[in-house]
Amino acid sequence: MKKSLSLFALEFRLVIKQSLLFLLIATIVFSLALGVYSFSNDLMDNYYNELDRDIYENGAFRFWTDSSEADIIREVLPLAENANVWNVWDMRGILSDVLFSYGEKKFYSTNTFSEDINEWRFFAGRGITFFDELTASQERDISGFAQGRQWRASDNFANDGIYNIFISAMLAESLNASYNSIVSVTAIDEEFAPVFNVRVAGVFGNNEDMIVELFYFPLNLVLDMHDTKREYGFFPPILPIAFQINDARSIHPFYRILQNAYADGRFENVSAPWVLNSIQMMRTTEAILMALAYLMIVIAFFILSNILSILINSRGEFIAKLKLLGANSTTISLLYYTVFLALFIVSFALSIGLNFVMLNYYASIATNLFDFEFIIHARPLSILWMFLASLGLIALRYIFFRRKISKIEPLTLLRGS
Amino acid sequence: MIINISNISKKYGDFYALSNVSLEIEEGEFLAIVGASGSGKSTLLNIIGQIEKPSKGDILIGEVSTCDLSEKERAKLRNSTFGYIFQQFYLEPLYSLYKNIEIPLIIAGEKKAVRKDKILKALEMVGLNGKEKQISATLSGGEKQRAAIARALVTNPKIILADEPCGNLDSKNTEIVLEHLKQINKSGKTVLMVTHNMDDTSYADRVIKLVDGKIE
Repeated sequence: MKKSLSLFALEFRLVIKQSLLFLLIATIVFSLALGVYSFSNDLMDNYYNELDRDIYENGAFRFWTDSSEADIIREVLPLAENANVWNVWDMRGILSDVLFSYGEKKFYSTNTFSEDINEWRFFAGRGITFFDELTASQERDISGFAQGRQWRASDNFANDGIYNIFISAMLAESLNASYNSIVSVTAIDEEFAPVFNVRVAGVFGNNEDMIVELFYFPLNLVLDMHDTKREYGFFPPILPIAFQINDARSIHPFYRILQNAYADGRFENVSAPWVLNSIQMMRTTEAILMALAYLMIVIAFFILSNILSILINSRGEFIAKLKLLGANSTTISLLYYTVFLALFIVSFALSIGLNFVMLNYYASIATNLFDFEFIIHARPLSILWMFLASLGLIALRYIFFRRKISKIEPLTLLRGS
Repeated sequence: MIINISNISKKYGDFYALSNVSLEIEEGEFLAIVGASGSGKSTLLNIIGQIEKPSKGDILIGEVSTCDLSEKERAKLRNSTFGYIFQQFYLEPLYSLYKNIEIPLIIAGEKKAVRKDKILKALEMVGLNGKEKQISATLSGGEKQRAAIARALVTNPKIILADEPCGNLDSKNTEIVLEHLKQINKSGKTVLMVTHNMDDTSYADRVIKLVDGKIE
């Protein structure tokens, strides 16, 4: 290696002179590859940040599960210490409710239906139905519609407890309640009815009115319920899986279920939630960009490799002279391999500099393409990863050099003259 | 270091460039090999110098049998034992004199400081001191051949192989080069010179003639 490095010192100036144009092209391509790679790394992060903002503003997803594979049981809402969540719906627009239990928890869905199937929503949590301003009832019977019912002692309403509820905008208005305000509730059945307080943890109306998160079930479960209702007139009492998601990243398990549902073709008439479609699109985009970045690395590598092929061909006589004077194929191969490495390092280093200059420009292109603001970071780890990936290709190329150089004999020199 | 050539043949297709050549060369001998063009003299020199392998036979360089050497071993032998001087000089035209002469020393693994010392001494020996930075393409023919001699000597090889060293030189430079070869021989090195010019053989201790691949 030492011999190769000493010979390299002789050859390198000559190489640079012969290869300037190719070096420049390779630098630009490396820079583009770095830019695209950095962009693809940032793409999902930027997207998820935007998505989180949108979801926080417009709604979110919540499911509960104690499935061991879904390590995503979380408290979604910034609720008070009391972990009970109560959902409320208005009588107006109510068509049905669902009782389901999972473990020790009992969940009553709160539903609003409309003519438009796309507006079906299910809300999970204990349900309290307010018939009027200050009464509440609780529906337990799975076959019945929410007509109001007295709660029992087993419902564990503590006298001094504060329970969080979600109420519709219309009810909030009639109660003169607003987000985070405390409302006292008295049960109809005085035997069991303490007066207890509820905190208005959410006021819902339409998407624009949302100030807390909504609950959505996976659409396949929606459809299951829908199918069951059609067939039997009521909704299935027990949902097999419910799981909780607190941000866009956790939608992935949900996303898988939806994917399966899509595959089963059960989504023909139901539009998927907007966020899932866009996640799918963004993940595909990310994959394409990563592939593009790696393709650019390969192109840049071949440009540099081309320099070296031309060089070895043009320096055949010199290689023969080296062999004549006692250099073996290994020494000479290492010489040109070192030349190649040096070219690559020069090109890559220049491309990092160029990349930093161009990042803002790339970000503006991305912002226009994806319709939300992009900031692209040239992450050190991304740079390192691309460097190592390129080195791997270069290592493979050594085998080619070795073979080519071993075919050049000193006799070639003498016979040629 | 005696060179023992034993029944060497070299075949190219159906053509025998050399046919059962046997020869012994004493250490410190100045041997001239003459013959017409195509007689096999350069082939013999190449085989001795480990540039080519014979089709048959063996060569002992000292105690070392060269017929089964690997490429790496032959390359090492070329660098350590032989110095080469050719009609076409085979200097690297874009390199300086210094760099040209440095190449065999780099291959030999010599340190930089040692290399410098040896290069300057070699240049002085051939009368080219002060010209180490000159690009070899700008040298005259005589200077180039002297530079080639310096390169051949710089690793202190035991055997100098010269193939038509004066083929591209005028009479004056021919005399200078041959004198250098004689001095090299007097210093104890074995010199094998191929030439088609009988006048050049006057510097040699012994002359052998090749005709159609055989020693006459």
